[in-house]
Amino acid sequence: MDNIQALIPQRPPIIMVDELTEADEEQALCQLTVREDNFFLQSDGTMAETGIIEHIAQSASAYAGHKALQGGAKVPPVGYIGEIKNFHLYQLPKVGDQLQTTIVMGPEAQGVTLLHGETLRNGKELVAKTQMKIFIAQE
Amino acid sequence: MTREEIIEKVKGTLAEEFEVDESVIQPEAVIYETLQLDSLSLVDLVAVVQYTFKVKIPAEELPTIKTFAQLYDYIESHVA
Amino acid sequence: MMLLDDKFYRIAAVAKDNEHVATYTIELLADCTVYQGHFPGKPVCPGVCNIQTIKECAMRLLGENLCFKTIKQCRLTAVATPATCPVLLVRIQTTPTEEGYQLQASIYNQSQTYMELKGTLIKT
Repeated sequence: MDNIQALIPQRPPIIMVDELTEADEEQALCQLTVREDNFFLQSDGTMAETGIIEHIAQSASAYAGHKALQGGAKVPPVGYIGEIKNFHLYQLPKVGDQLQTTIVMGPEAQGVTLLHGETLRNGKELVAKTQMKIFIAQE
Repeated sequence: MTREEIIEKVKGTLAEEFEVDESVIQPEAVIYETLQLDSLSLVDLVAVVQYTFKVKIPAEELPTIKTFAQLYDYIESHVA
Repeated sequence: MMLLDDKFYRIAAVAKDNEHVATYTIELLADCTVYQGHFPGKPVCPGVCNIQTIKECAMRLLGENLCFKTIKQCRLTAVATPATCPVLLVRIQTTPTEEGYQLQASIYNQSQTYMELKGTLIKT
């Protein structure tokens, strides 16, 4: 699929998604490998839960970017998190782990979209899930 | 689903989602004021209706739904 | 674990109500590397860095390593930037539970509120 920097406005050191691997009308799958230089890496080798939240937010942003580019936009839109709701952490990922996150788009009202994100580690273990409200800046 | 069943379900789910007492959800009460909706929480109302009744409220229909009675009407006429 | 102190923010002052409640005054550090990527030429505080800052203030107050187990709700009510709000207040209110703490927090200044958060922290 597309180069990730074409889909999201974030740049190093805070790119928190490697690739959008699948996308259809309702949901998308993104992945991230936790590396030594990750901005949210803690001294014990785990990635902070705030990094997981950013990863889920950027996965949603990549999905929105993919849709916008398919719709003919030249640059990806800048999306802001409006609210994080019912976030649950199950475990912290570690260096070397591959995270897979499913984003399911929910309803939209007045420019605010509610979405669900669920992150697995190495294809099986649940890491975190959350709902999130994002709004896309109209530039 | 009967109108009574819709009303009961709406009251229960909205009271829980917006942390209000069910008794404040009266047919002629204004939804926005009763639930203290703002631009961020409006989508929660749409989500509750969509997930509970499988009824989608399109953006252009939202402004026509002001009171709970109007919300019940909308659900009643669109629920499968 | 502290990730962002003296990097994204610096603590300028603390006013403790008691051992579980305090208000921290923080300065946002405009030269933090995060702004190179968020966003190029348009520095905006990442919402998650504000959440991390709240957690680190709570850890400092309670003297423990903590991690969010749940965030029931976190509203990002305004966009913060190091240029427009260089000094912010972080209000931390915690209640001990069996596993850790209940937390209510907000980030604000005299003109507006930037973040309101309700969640639970566990000891790590």
